[in-house]
Amino acid sequence: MTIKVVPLGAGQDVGRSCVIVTIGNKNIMFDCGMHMGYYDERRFPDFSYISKNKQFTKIIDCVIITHFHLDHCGALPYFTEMVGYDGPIYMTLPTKAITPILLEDYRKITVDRKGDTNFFTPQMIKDCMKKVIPIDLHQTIKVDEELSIKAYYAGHVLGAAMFYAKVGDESVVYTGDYNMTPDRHLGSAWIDQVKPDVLITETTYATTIRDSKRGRERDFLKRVHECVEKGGKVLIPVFALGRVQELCILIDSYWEQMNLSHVPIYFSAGLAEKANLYYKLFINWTNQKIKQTFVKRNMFDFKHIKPFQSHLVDAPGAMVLFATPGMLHAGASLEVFKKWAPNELNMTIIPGYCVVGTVGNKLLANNAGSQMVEIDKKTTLEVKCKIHNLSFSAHADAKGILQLIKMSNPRNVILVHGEKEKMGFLSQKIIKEMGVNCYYPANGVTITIDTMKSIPIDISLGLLKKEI
Amino acid sequence: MKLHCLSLSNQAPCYLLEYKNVKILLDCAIEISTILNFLPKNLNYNNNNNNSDSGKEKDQEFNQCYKNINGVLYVDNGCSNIKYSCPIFEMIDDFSTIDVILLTNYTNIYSLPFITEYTNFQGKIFATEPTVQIGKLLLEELVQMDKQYSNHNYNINNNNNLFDKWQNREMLTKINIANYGNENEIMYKDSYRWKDLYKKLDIEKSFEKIQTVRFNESIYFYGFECSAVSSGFCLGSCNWVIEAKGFERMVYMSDTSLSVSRYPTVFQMEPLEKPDILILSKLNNHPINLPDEMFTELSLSIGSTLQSGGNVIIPSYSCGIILDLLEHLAEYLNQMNLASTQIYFISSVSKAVLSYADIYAEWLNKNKQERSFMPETPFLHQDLMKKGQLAAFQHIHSHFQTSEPCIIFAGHPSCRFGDVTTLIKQYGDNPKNTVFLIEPDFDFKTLVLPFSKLTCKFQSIPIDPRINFKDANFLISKLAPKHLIIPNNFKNFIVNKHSNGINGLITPILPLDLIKIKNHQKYENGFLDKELAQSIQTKIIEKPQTSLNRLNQIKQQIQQYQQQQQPQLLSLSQPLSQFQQQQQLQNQQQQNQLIHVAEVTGILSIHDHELVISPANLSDISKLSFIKEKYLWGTLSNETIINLITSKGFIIENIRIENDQYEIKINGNSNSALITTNNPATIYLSSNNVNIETNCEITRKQISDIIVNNCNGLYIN
Repeated sequence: MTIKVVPLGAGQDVGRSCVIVTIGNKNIMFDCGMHMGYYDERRFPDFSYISKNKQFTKIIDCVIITHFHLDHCGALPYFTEMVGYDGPIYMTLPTKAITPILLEDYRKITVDRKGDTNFFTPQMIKDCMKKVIPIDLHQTIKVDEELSIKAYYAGHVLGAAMFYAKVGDESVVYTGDYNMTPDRHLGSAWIDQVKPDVLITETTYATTIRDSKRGRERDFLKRVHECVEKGGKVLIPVFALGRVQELCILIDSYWEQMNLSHVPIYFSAGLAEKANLYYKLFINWTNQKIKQTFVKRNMFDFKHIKPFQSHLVDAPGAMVLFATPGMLHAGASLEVFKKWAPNELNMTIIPGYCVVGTVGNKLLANNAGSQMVEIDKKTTLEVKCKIHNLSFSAHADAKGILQLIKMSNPRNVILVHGEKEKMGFLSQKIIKEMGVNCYYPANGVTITIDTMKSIPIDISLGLLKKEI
Repeated sequence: MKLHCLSLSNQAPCYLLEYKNVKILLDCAIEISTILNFLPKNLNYNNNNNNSDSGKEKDQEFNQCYKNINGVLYVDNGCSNIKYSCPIFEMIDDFSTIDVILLTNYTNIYSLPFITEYTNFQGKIFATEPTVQIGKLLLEELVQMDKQYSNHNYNINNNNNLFDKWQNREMLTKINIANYGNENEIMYKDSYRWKDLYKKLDIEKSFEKIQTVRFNESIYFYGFECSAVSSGFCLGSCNWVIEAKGFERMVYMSDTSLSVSRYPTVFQMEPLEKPDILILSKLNNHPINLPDEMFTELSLSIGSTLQSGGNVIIPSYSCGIILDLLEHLAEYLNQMNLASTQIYFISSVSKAVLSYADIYAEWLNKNKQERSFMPETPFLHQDLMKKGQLAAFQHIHSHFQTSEPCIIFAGHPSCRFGDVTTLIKQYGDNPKNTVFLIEPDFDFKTLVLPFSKLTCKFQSIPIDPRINFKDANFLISKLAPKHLIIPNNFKNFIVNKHSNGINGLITPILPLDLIKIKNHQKYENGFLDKELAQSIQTKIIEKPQTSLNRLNQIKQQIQQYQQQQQPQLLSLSQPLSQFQQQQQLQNQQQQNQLIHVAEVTGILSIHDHELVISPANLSDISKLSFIKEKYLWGTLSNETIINLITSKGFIIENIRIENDQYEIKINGNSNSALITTNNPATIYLSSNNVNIETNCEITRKQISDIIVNNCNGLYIN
């Protein structure tokens, strides 16, 4: 028997994650993401690979979404409402709650600001989300007689999960994005030793071994403190949900400790309060410490962080602003950046990964003093403010990836969601250290894996009594 | 399979299930109703002006230990701490032999610290997340209330040499001798074994040992697969599906509610369907009262109390039906223009319970769950608190001031200890005030008798959302269990009648009962290595048609309902056993089919309760000796054999059929003089075994040939 794996997105690439797995006669789509570096048809996975005549519901037995980041769920309304997939969709409760908000947020930016027309509508997002079946951590759902799926904690963002899918005796684990070290608000990923035939893992930080988390936190706080002390403004482009909650906990307690309440911290309007409420309601998905103390004080009730109003962008004096979106490709963060970037007193800290084509990516690519940066085709901006990239994004590093491989004990490993060279390096390491096969297919390339499975039999009790 | 009932009543379930040498304890509750035997804290019962004790017992000591109120004996609050009635753990010789404890919900876990901290239990414990979190809060609250009761007693009676004397057997027998009536005798029947509660630290340590699960999470242990399935009764309440891999499915069901309008995740049925065994434990304690009607009655009664200027006290548990009531009452008060009425929730865990309830989206019904998506808190409590309609207090301080009229929820629902005793004292002397007893665990009369001097009203409106007999019978008909086990006192009310008209078996179980259920398992699940499987060469043989006589047909029908025999446990101490194995693979298709037969030589090993036959490597093969012999397989047709025996001239004297076994007595042979009446033969025939008893070797050979020739056989060459 064989298992087939083909990435439609995230094959030797980061963005628009979408991996089709065939086990037995079942086809599972893991994630259905969009690529944020593109504005043409390349932003969605190439669904025509699955079916030329749009028979998606017939072919795909279920869609599983691992977490709410758009590069993992952004193409879902397109797939269900515009090209017509009508089968079951699974995600965890927090993912189901938060995904429509991020989709709507992104839709607004794309359609309202960029004037894109071939895009899904608010109603499509709603209709799409109605079809989603929530799955709880460790709950085993039987999709049909043969296919069952189970979710494991992934720790990457609130509600992020890894999925174990099983058909007969053959099984696959798809990790989505995960984090093997607990942070200030989330726990670390964990999975049983399920011995899957194939483990499909993300490899965003395939070759990085990150320094200690504490060190990075200190570094972040020191830089912010230095900047505001000199009267500078700190811009932190973030996504409304996820990393920002961790940074808020960090900076809120630092402000308390250092008596910095005279320096205001803002959270760009709209999503802020709502987003925090999600964290308060889904506290069971955060880490142990927050869970234990939440009755006394909910960590997501911030003391120093206030909502931002647009006139404050020109207000004098030091301040810290968390603004969306995180890659500086549109929206409030880009607007504020345009105003603050020409001043060398100011600072921009990019706490996450930026895909190719975004302003954030351009800034990071050329991180040496002042630079001319092309904002869009018409605008070029002289950037004098300091730019820092502090990796807070919660992906497993090389050590973490190997740890997860050890934990789940797979027969084969397939790498996705990373850069090709780094994957090549890591795959050598996996083959050498773990002694398992490792592949990293490009988009549209099918990997076929033979599974040697035992055959279930009945053994007579008489025989057993005699022999054992 | 063996099932041992350790509970004294079906309101405090505790069962020990033994199957495939694995011991599983199902629930471990405390019989909470016995608290009523103790006089409430804050209530001094003066011996002299006591309700006239018609002088039955002149014993001074006895009268000091027990107070007789209207014929009911209570243990005086000055004479004892409260003692608790555990399941009959004395029946378990060695707790270290218990492998697993499965818990259904937080009402059934009160005995857990007694097991984990006071015995040598070392097994695993499984419960849902809310069962653990809420359960811990409730146990801690109970310990706190219990401690207050003891301290209070100690302060007023620190020189009492009669302390705990009521529990002496000598004293207890006086109850019987003095003829205090059947009720009292029953109340105190096994009170000698009631014991002091555990400590807070015990709870802490005990709960650390529980492994939390989610609904429908499959957990595996010792060859079993179990999962918790929502029972719809309270936060995280579940029924357990216990499956011995590939064999029997058992369902343990306790505290189930079919209501779809309450806050917990609704009852889930599909995973429980068609079990081999269904163990039904706790049901509705007030089967006649429908929860919805009770609720309406409560609202109306509260309304009229408030309108007449009275206050309302509701003794209740800190989590459970109260979560329904807070929201519904607020809504009702608004409708009745009584919105200014303040609702108080007094409990050391009130704030924690309300906070936890709001973060349990996964454990709530759909409507509440969807509120978290908005995002809004699933419950309205926070809104009500902001509006000032609801206030939660840890406990009653000296400066606790209520704004009246008010509704106060406080524990303990037995009204024997906890802040509710203070409240009853405070509000008891106003006939306008009413105490509503809503928790179904307590007998109204026994509960209120000690308060009979108070002028406030006591009203019993038990709200029990658990299924009653009617619902249970409906559920059983849908679930269609082959075998149903129920507490003995349900036996006149519960039937195992399936919706397709078939009746399943039903066994009532009494406290302390041990019931055994036989089964007829013939095979164990295993795996054949793929490589080995590929090397198999099969022979094809046509299967002879067998005609079934009527007896066999009946036998089959019986078999459908009979349980499989006690399966054999495979010892783990022998992880690998080498042997030569000849296995006949039967590939049976429909009727009149071809049979594929093959010989397999391999190594049988057992690992993690999984049997695998894998190819023998070279060194193994050298150890294996190959035996060439004829293998027999197939099912014996008793009728055919009897016919053949007769046709060979044997005279059958008598055939007895017992438990699937034919006992055929042969007395002589018309074709041969070898067998005489002095030399009879008996054949014991069952579907997979034959015994021939005779002194005559020739007869044995003849009969054995008949049987062997009638079986399918294969010579390996």
